Amino acid sequence: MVVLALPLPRTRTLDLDRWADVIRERLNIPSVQDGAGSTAIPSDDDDNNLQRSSVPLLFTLPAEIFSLILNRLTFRDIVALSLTSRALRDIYSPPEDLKRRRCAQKIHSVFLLPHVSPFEHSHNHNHYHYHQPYNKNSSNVNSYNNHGVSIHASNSNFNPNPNSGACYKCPYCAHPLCPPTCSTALLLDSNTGIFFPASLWPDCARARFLYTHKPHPSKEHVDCRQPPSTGGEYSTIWCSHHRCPRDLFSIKHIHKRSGPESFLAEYRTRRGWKLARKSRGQAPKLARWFVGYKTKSQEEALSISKEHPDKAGRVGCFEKVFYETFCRHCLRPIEHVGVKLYPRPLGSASCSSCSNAPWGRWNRGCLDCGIVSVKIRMIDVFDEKWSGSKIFSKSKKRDGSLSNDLSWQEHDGYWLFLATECRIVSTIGAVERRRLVPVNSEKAEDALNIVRGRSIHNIEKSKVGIEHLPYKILSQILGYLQEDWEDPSWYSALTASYCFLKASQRMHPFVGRPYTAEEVWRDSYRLHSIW
Amino acid sequence: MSQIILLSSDNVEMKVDKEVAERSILIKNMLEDVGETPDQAIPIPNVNEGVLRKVIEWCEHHRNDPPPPADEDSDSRKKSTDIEEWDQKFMQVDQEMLFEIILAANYLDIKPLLDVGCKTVANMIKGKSPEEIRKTFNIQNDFTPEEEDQIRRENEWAEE
Repeated sequence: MVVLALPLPRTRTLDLDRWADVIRERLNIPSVQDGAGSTAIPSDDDDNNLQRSSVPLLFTLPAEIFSLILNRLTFRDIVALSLTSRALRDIYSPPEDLKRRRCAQKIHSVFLLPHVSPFEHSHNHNHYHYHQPYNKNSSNVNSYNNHGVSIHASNSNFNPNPNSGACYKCPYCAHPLCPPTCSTALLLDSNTGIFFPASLWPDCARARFLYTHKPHPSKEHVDCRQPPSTGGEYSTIWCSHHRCPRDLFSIKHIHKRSGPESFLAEYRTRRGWKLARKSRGQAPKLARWFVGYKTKSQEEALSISKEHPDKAGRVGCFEKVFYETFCRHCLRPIEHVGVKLYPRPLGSASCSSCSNAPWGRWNRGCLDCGIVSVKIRMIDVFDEKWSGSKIFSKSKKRDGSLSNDLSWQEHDGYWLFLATECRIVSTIGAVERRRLVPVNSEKAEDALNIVRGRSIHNIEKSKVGIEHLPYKILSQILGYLQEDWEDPSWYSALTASYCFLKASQRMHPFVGRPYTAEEVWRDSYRLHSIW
Repeated sequence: MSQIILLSSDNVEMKVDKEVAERSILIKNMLEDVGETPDQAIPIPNVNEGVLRKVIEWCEHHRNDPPPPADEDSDSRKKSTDIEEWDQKFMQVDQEMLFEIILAANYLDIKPLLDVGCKTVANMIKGKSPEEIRKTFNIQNDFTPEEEDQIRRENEWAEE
């Protein structure tokens, strides 16, 4: 019989020898001997196997294999891995380079964000509620404040009541706000009207509230040497504890300095908000999803249900969706082929990688922090039925810039955006092999419910729908629709679902080959860019 | 085509084409050293039947692949985690099997298979938060709050 002596096939120079020793020591794993034992299932010893069974399999890999895996990871991934367990902390060593150190700090700050809400500790209310907005005549604050936090009539948005655990008040409805570190916080970016979760916000601990120039009271100990906008500026925070009432504009007794006016002022005058809606919300190639049936405003729903109990007063609900790629360092949308989407959100300067990216070439974002795909959904956040004509006219008079802006008259809802962090998931054998899905689907669904602020009755999906048809067939259908140029069906189909949009984008009618991702991107937005 | 017999750690014999077995550099070198096709089973200690079958399956599928490029240390190649579809399917196994395939590939010196295994593990880590990685690999968070505070302090914001 041929007897093989089985040595290590080859020797690598290991960077992780020290780590390997440390991890074994910490996990009490017996040292693996050189030779065969170091490369394959190391031991037949029952005791050792017993010990291994309680140790994550990842930790049992030899250091040289572990180093091969680490070589495939980005800097951000290595930091993430190093924060999973004490045993793995040593795979991260603080970089010497100042730029990389900044990246490391940013990455750590996202992963080690203290998710604390003052409300979460003292109350069991885990769901937001449709509270009434602040009314100075209201003495029974608990009628709209389930947290038992008393709110005082004041022009300031800061509530110094020591019993409440100092907090800001929502500028729109005067409800106390959670700090940005609340685990379900969605921060409304003052520059763009986009709600960002903490994971997509540059620095939650230093986020500034637009309606005050102080840092958040719970963060007053924070060193404030940084430029004012480094942490981003937010207009309000919606979370599981607070969401402005959908009927914000139907309140009969609105105070002169009431919140709805603040919202309208931002919604209609802030350039970034308008541009985001205009450049992205109106792009013809933007997919417009039928998401289900919505109830009308509560009053309407009630009256309808009384008159026609069989009809729930439901109307179709449509939301627009688009995707962006953000640099994880500066959390700005990555500009591509010179197309600017809207003023970059969050107010801070772009990172050196983004600002030095050559014009017209694919910007890969910060090489250490990486990039992130973001799904942005345009959501109608307040009921259309409002009685705020007085507010509109006052606001219009006060702000001359509004006089020429007629778009406000074409009121069809109040559209804000919700950003959701996504990741690419590969599906073997599917039509679309790589799909973007929310990083945390449960959290994404919660965030969506918060921003919608109403229940959507989802339609029952059939097992096989139009979206399951191959692109070839879908493009054939589009071809039929396209034959009659006077019929808008082709356009309607394109905006009805991504499946048609993708099918059209995958067949390049003039070149006779599939579009490249770059072409799709450019053609989708080039003509509709307002820059 | 000549065949050889491999003997798994649990004493199961498997007949494979020599060409397929030679995807393993270890076996290839051994066969070259011996100079002739052995008529007895070649023991593969530390690799059990199940894992060895998987490894042979991979080798059979990739029997005609060109040898891996020489510039194995090029940075772009290192960072790439693209896996071809067949290999993705092949690697859809439980974690224990995945790690055993990686160990076996390392042991048998089948670099492309080792690469696929490492890419698969890297893809399981990529883009995830520490909490998600913990869930994926069943890692217990043993950082104390004080240690987390310490890390937070060590990585506090620096002016840009």
